[in-house]
Amino acid sequence: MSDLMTNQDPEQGQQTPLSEKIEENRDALKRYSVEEIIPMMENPKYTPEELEKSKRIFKSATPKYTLDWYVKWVASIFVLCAMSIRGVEGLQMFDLALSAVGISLWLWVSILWHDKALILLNGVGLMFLLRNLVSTVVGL
Amino acid sequence: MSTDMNDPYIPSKISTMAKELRLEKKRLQQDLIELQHDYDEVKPTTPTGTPDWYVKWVSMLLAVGGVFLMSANITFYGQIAYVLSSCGWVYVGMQWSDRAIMIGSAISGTAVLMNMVQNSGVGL
Repeated sequence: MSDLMTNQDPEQGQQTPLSEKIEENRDALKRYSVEEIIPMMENPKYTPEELEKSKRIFKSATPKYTLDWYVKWVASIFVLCAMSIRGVEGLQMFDLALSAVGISLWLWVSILWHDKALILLNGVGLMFLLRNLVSTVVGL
Repeated sequence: MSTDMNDPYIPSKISTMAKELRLEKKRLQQDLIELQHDYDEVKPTTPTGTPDWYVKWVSMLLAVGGVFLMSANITFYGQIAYVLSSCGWVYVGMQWSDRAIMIGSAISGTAVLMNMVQNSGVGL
């Protein structure tokens, strides 16, 4: 496997300036942030070209192992827990509370991602959940 | 008789301009770095202008519309909108390779679909 991020050209066996390699792979590198490119350059495993073309290498458009990644999964667990108890008699309050917490966390993730569609979706969802929660509490 | 051009200690006009240009270049580079930093702070993490961006916005509108319709007791159309939105979000999750979005959308969409089928009386 050839490493385009290294200075060594495997075919010619001579040094190629790193700047040229970066220039050649400019389109592939656009997909990645500086935080992702630096480890790639320091410890090259896959080239940007390989990452771009490969269907086997898992690559996500959203960040991994960052704060928002953990918050996202915790939020998903809350939402799934809420859904699992939906429809059970006497647990409507827990359902609404868990959903509200999950959607609030998703709203936080959306803000961290600066994604307007997700912010709107989760914002509207949270408003409905809070309205239902308040009406349930007042109705008790 | 000595002129400024001959005196090595008096900077010529060209060297003064070169120095000013260097300083200006440095200042512009600094401005560019600051602008890039400001842009990085507000730019979305998720892709924009791609097919999944359009699907994401349509799905968002369908989901919000679905929730509004369901709360307005127009349950059937609300559920249809929500299920379509879930399909769209699953597609977006696949494009982003984001398992959390895929799982959340697939499960909530399936739950609404099951509820819709139960309410319609199919299989009863």
